[in-house]
Parts: sequence; C-alpha cells; structure tokens
Amino acid sequence: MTISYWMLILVLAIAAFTIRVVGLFAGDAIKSSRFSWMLDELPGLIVVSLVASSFEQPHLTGPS
Amino acid sequence: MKHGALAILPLAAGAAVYGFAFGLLAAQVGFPWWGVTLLSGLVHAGSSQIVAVEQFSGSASVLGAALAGEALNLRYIGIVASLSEILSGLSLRMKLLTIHITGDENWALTMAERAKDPTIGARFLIGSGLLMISVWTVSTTLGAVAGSTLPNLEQFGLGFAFTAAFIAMARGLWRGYANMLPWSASFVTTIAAVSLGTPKAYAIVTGAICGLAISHQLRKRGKTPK
Repeated sequence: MTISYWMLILVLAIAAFTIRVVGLFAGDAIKSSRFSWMLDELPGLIVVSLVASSFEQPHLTGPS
Repeated sequence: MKHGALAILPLAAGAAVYGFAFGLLAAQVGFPWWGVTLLSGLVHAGSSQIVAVEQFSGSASVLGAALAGEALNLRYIGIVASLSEILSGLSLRMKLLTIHITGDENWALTMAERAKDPTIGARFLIGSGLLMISVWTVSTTLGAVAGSTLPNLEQFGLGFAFTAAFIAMARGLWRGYANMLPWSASFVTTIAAVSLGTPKAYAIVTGAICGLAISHQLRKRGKTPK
C-alpha cells in the first residue's frame, strides 16, 4: 500500500470525524439558542431527504 | 445497549452485504484487506468511503477523492446536532466515541424508537452503533479478502433495500399533519436538486434546510405546536 493510500485513509478519517465534531458543538449551541426547535425537526427532514435522494441515486445510499 | 444491538440486526444484515460489495471494490482499486479494515474502522461512513474509493480509482488524487467522499458526510452535522439531548449526560470522551460509531441506520433507528419511547437514549444509540461499526468493518474486510471474484451486488436492488428501511424509520418519526408541509418540501427539494445534478450530500442538506425554512414559517404563523 503506497503513501497515497495511507493519505486517503488518514484524510477521510480526519475529515469524517471533524464533521461529526462540528455537529456535536453546533448541536450544543443550537440547544441553548432560540433555534432549539430545529433539533426536533431535523431528524425527520434528514430521513425524508435520504429517502428522496436514494430514489434518484440508490447506488449512493449505503450504510454509514 | 443490548436492546440497541438486537434492534439494529436487520439493518446490520443489509449493511453487511453492502459492506462486502464495497470491500470487493476497494480490493480491485488496490487496497489490501487490512487497509480496508483501517479505512472502515477509522472513517465509518460507508457512502463516503464508496465514493472516495471510486474517485481515487479514477484519478488517484487523494484530495479530490476525499472531497468527493466527505461531501456525502455533510449531513452528519445535522445528524449529530440532533443527538444533543441524547448525548447530554455523557462525558466528552464518550460523546466523541458515540458520534464516531453513529451512522445513518443506528441514528435513524434510535430517533424513531425514541419518538415512540422517550426512555430510549444513549445506551440504545451506543449499542446499535457498536454493532453497526463492527459489522461494517468485518464485512468490508471479508469483501476485500474475497477480492473480485463475485459479481456486482448492486444489480440485486440493495439500494432499494436501504430506501425501504429509511421509509420505515420515517414512519416512526412522523408526528402528524404538522410534518406534512416541511417533509414534502424536503422531499421535493431533494429530488429536484439531485435531478439537476447536485451531488447527493448537498441535495440532502438543501432539502433539510428547505424543510426547516417551511417549518419556521409555520411556527411564526402559529400553525405548528411549539
């Protein structure tokens, strides 16, 4: 496995975790703000969007 | 945690088949089996892994492949943000572990179950997440070991199996007529965005934002219970 394979794994891992951490701290900020209602709405909206996008591109709707 | 692990089993079985197929693809691109194990264990975002490896096989550009893959992960900002209440009682270390093992399936299942039973929380999420990351890592590794000897499993409609699972979860999150307009807006916007060539990740984010905007307007007009 060459350095480029290692780099891809490393960059993907860091980026994926960074996005989750941003969500973690954005969640705390939203919870204490007047936008807290978004936390109630987001789950359903994202699931519906996942369903809609998988109708269009089912091959990209994989496990995560 | 056992409850979550057991409840996620049907979805994990689907993920295992998809993971095996991804392992085959990664092996064809040149990843050794242990490289696939590392990739799946450290990234744990199946759809972004698939896109990144496909892009990498075409261009060998690490940055381009990573950008393409991570675009699919933008939805995790909203997914993790929605877990704020569930994660509130955990230490920072446990929060970081939990958000890493959280994926589409165990997040959606947890939220759907929590909508029916408010006692469902972090333990359910962690139990289902641990099972999912284990199944995903092992199945992708086995796929890589098997190499390219099996046909393309996508032709058997596995994509629709996930769609059906998400539809079932959406039913659990449905809270009544108040959801109708925001959900419809999200659905139509996402379909339109993907049809216009928008990458899936951006289409999902766009659809969710559009639904939020509609919901906000309804709340301002007092048509939705606060």
